Amino acid sequence: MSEDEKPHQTISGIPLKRVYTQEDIAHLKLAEEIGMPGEVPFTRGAYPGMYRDRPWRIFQLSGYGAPEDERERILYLIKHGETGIIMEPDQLTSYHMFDPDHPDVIERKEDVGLTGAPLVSLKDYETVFEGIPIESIYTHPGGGCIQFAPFAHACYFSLAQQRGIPLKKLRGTGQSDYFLSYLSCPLKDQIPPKAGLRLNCDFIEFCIENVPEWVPVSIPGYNANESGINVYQEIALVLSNAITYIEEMIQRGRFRIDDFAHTIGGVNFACGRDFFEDIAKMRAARRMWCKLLSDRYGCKDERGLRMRIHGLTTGSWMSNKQPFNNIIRGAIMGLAAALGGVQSLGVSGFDEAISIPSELAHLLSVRTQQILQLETNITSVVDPLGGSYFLEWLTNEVEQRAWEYLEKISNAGGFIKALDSGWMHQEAAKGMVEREKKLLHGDLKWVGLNCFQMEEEPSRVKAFRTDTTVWDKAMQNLENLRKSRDNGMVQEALAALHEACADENRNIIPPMMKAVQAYATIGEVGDIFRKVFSVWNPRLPL
Amino acid sequence: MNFEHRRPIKVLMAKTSLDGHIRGIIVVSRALMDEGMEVIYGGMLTPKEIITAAMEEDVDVIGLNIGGRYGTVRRIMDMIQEKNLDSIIVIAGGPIPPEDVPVLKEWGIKEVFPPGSSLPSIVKCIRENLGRG
Repeated sequence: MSEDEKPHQTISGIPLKRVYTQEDIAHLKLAEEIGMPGEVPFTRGAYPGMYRDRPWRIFQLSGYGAPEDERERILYLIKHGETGIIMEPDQLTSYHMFDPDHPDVIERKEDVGLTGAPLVSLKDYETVFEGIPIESIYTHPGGGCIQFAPFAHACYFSLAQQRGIPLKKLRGTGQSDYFLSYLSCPLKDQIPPKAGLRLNCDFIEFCIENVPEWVPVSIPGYNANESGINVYQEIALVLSNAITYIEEMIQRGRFRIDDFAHTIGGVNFACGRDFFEDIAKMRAARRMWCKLLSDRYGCKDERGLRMRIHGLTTGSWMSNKQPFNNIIRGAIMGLAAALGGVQSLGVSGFDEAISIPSELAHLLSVRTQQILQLETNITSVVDPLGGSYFLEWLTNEVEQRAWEYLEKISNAGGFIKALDSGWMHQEAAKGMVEREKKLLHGDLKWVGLNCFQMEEEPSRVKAFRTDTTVWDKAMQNLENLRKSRDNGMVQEALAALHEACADENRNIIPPMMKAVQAYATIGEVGDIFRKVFSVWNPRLPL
Repeated sequence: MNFEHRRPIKVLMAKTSLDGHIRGIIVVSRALMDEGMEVIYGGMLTPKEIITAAMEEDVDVIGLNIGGRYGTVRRIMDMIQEKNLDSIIVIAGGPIPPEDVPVLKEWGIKEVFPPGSSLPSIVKCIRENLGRG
C-alpha cells in the first residue's frame, strides 16, 4: 500500500476522508446543535464573550519538597503570571493518609517530598500559604484524590477562618477524582469507591450551603485518557461519573437538580496527540453535558447546563529524548485547548519525562500560555473554527461514539461497578497496549523516539533535584506538633469525626473542620477512614 | 538441551515507592506475558517484601518501577548481595534522569528503561542476560 492509500484516522480510530464538504454536515441541525457561544447547548463555548471578556486561567500544577519549598514555587509562578494555584501533595503521606512515622512511609522515607509536599496537618497549610492572599487567588488546595480531599479542604477553609475571610468569598476548585487514584494511579489500601461517593457528595452539600463560589468536585477525563482511554471514551466516562454524583444527590433528596448541577460541571480534558479530535472533544462534551442535564434530569439552571473545562497537555506524550521538543508539543496542545474553549489550562514542563518541573520548565509552561494569549490574536474571535465542515462533522462523530460508549459503561453496571469489577482497568489497558503496538510498528510517529532518533542528545536537560531530607523535617514537625497541641481536644474531635463517618446521615465535613483545627494529623484521620470504610485495591488487568 | 521442559522465565514486577502511576508497569508486564514469561505482579512493595517474594517465587528477574530517588533500590541491591541472590537479573524503569543510569548500573541493576523505551528491547535484555536469547 502506498503512503497515499494508507487509511487515515484520528488517534481514537475514527476514519477520516481526504476532504469534508457541505454534504458531510447537511444532516446536522446547525442552529440547534451548534447555536451561539454561551447559549444552549454550549457547543461553541461556555460563555458568550469567552477570551474577550476573560483570558483562560493559567493554572499549573506545582509542588515538591517541604511545605516551605511548595510555597516558594507557588510564589515564583504567581510572580511570573500564573493566575491560579494547583497544589501537589506528597503521595506517600498526604494521599495515602499516613503520618510520616507510618511503617510504609519509613520504608521509603527518601521518597517523601519527591512530587509534592507532605501536608500532614493544618500547620503545613499555614506554612504553604504564608503571605499568599487566599481571599483573591483561585486555588486547588491539593484535594486531587478522593480520600485526601476532605482533609485538604478542611485545612484550606480553616486557614480562611483563621484570617477572618468569609468562606463565601473563597474561590477555587476541588478535584476529588476517581480516575486519578482508582484508575490511573491507584493508591495502596485506599477507601473503596463507594465510600468516595459519600465523601464527595457530603462535600458538594457542604459547599452549596457554605462555600457557594467553590467547585467542590471536578471530573478529570485527563487521568482516564492518560491511562489508555480514547477521546470519545473519555467524554463518556466523565459523563458516567457525573451521573453517579447526580443520582446520589437526587437520592439524598436535600437539593434539587437546579441547586447542585453547577457544582459538578467542572471537568478536565487531555489535549494530546490529535489536534482536531481534541477540539471536537471539548465541543462535543459541552453539548452532551447540556443534553444530559436538561433531557435526562430536567435541569433548567443555566449554570448547571454549562460545562466548564480545564485543559491539560498530555504528560505521557512528552519525551525524555530531545526533551526541548516538548516545548513545541506543549504549545501545539495548548493551542488546541484554547481553540476548544477551555476556562483554564496547564501546560506540561519540557522535563516532564525526566523529573518534576524545574523552575525554568515551569516558567516556560506559563510563558507558552502567555504567548498564546497575547501574541496570536486567537482570543479575539469566539470559536473561530465553528462551522468548519470537518470540525462540525467530527464533533458530531465524537458525540455519537461517546453516547454509545456511555451505554456500554451502563451495561457494565454503571460507573462505580465498572471501576470495582476491573472492567474500566481492562478497557484502559486495551488502549495502552494498542498505543505501544502502533508505536512499535510505526503507525504512530513520535519524533525522537521512533523516528529522527539521535545517537547523541543535542543538548542536556538537567533533572530537577529535590531535597532528600524532607522526611526528617516532617518527622520533626510531627513530633513538635504532638507536643504542642491540646491532645485531649484532638481525641475529642477525632471521636466526633469517627461518629460522623459511621453514620451515613451525617455530613463529615463539619467534624473534619473541627479535627483539623485541633491539629489532628492526616494519619489520624486516615486511621478512622480505614476503620470505618475499609480498604480497597484495584483488580488490575494482569 | 530440551527447551520444551524448561520452565518459563519468571519475573517479579514491583513498585518501590507509594507512587500510584501504573501505566508503565502494566504495559511492560503485559508485554512480558505475551512473550510467554510468567509475571508475578507485586504492586507497591517494600524492599524486604520484594526480596521475600523473589525468594519464595524463585524468580529469574525482578523488574522495578522507580524514579527520582533510590534509597529503596540501594536497600534492595544490598539485600540481594547479602542473600547471595546475584543470579537474579534486576532491571528498572520509570522517569529516571540519564545521569543516574551509571550509578544504578554500578549497584548491579542490569539495565534501565526510561519512558518511551521499546518493549522488545526489554524482552531482549531479559533473554540475553539469562542466556536464553
